[in-house]
Amino acid sequence: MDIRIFKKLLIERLITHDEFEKIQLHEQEPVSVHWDLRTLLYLGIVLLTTSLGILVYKNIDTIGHDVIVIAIALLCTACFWYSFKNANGYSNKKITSSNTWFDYILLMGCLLLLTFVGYLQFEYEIFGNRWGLATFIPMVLLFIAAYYFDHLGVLSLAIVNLAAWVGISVTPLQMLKENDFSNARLIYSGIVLGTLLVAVSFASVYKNIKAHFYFTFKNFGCHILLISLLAAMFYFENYYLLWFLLLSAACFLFFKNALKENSFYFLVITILYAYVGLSYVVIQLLFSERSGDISIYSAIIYFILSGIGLIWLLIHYNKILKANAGI
Amino acid sequence: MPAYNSNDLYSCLVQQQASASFRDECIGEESYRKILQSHPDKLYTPNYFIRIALGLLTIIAVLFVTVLLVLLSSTSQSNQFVTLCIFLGIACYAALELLLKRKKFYNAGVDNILMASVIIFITSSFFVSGFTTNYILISGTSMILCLYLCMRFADAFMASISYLSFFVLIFLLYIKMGSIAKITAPFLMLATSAITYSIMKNLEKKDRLIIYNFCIKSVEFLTLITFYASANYFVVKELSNQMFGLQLTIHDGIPLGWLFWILTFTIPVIYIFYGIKGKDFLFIRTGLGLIATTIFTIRYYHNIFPLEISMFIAGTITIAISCSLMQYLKISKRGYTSTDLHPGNTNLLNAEALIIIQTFGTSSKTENNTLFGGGSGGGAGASGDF
Repeated sequence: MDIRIFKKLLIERLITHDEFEKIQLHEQEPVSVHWDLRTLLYLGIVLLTTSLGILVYKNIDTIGHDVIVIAIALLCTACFWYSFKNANGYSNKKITSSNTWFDYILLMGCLLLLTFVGYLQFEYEIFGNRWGLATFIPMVLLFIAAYYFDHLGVLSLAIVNLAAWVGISVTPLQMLKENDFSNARLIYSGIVLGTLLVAVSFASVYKNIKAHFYFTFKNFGCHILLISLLAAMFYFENYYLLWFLLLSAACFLFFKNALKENSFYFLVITILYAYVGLSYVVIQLLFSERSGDISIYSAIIYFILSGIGLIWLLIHYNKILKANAGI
Repeated sequence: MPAYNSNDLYSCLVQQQASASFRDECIGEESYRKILQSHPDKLYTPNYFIRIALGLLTIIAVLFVTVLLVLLSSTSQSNQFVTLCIFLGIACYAALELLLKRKKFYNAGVDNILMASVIIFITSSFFVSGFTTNYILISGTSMILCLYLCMRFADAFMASISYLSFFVLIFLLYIKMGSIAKITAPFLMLATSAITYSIMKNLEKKDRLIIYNFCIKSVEFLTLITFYASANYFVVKELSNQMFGLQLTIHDGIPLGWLFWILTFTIPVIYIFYGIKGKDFLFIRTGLGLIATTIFTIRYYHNIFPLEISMFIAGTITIAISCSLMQYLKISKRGYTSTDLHPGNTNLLNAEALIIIQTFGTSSKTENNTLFGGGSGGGAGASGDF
């Protein structure tokens, strides 16, 4: 706080002498280095774990895979044992952890769990060719951990794992090997998954089961759904107008919802997704018949006008949301 | 000089400070509301996400206007291109002034991008035309231009670029003076940084310049960086290698090399100690970052340990230091504490404080209604306009 400003405010009689003294006292209070130390600790952990990883990788011949797998398993068990010991038990409501280390150790346990399963599959192929199972099991465990310990980071990990499982399950192995990700089944499953995640987000509020998970579910669901719809537009070239209608409908619903919830974030991302879709349609229409000078100039003018138009639109809605923010 | 009414900029600052002090429970709700009323924030600074989107859309608009003009004028000669660049620069500036006058944009994304475009267009016009003293001219122009934009729009980014251009300009002019100048250049750059820092410290104290506080702070941060960079062994050696074509190998020394090594080691440490003593986070955080740079510098020339071993050592030391400091400062000592004084995001809390005051405001209004109007459904008209 800048003491000069408060001196002026005191002269203007906007704050009392008591308040001014309080501010002066506050300035002399100890300053918090909490986040600096946290950042430093995090940096140290990243350095240490990376170096250990490289060390193990370089010396894998002398150590042997069995030892490493056992070490990871032991460490993972230790992390989960600590987490269970310090957990407050399950509740449908938000649980705040009293212990600063708790969140980190739980996250480490979950990451180690993923490494453990991945290692087993790569080195020993315990799931054989059933790669879906190798992602399904950790996914279920992660969801259980996220709900039981109430951890948003683990929930995000679980959702990413879910997406990976869906992606792997619907994709034939042949296509994975050929790195062909733009197939129709992947797009359809993306649309289903996105819709499902959005539905879960609303359900969690409606049923009041971990209502604070709402944002994480909705965020993932919204992005997956809209990206899949855009991908569908680009992929099914002959029916792109149909997919554009679906995209517009989805964006419109998210947009309405953002206005209702006063969410600047969802307002902006839905407008931007819709803009990408619209621009694609405009470009397709302009260049479909014949691409002459007129198409090029019209496209440029479209981008200039639409850019300025959207700026105006965003400013307009920013005002609306701001006016409602107090309610 | 500023394009904004300086009262508006000051009010904006007052509101920020007032919500911080309200959050820390230094001032009461009554005073906070009085401050907000007497210093209304008239500048247009939208929500953070909206700002990013506005910035992106401005980039699209500016980019396509440029493409359109290039196509329309069908320029092939560099002369015409220079004219076009300068024209676009002036057009962006005019748009900027217009938006400020009409809408009072302040850090709204649009104005930041337009400001950057002015600089990009004007400097790129120099890159096209073949001046022999290209870089001196470019850095000189961008220094003056950015300084002007910074003073007019109170923009910290412009202040930073202006300082960096100034720094480069001094360097380029000095090394033109001959071989002695080339050897002593690092010392001149050290002095330049130090002098700029002390000037900034003086400017910071001036009440008249309170609205430029953030610009001044940004330049102070950069002076700390340039002070270190001027004496860093890697920078000195590799830059002189490049600039003067010395063709030194990795094992060759440079004149006064030992001095630069000492400075590379000591400057970050001095920053940290000075920062801890004076409770100046700018120095502490910069010093910590520069220690990492020092380690990279050493590793570049002297490969003592393999990479993973050095990472292991560095990681262990960092964890040990941070953990022990967390324990040591659990009860606050020497004016520091490791407990979190503002749990949660500060920006979020700011918004929360504003919302709290707004709902408080409406509730007190309805109280008045029931007092004087005889209870006509109090609390129904909870409009947010406070």
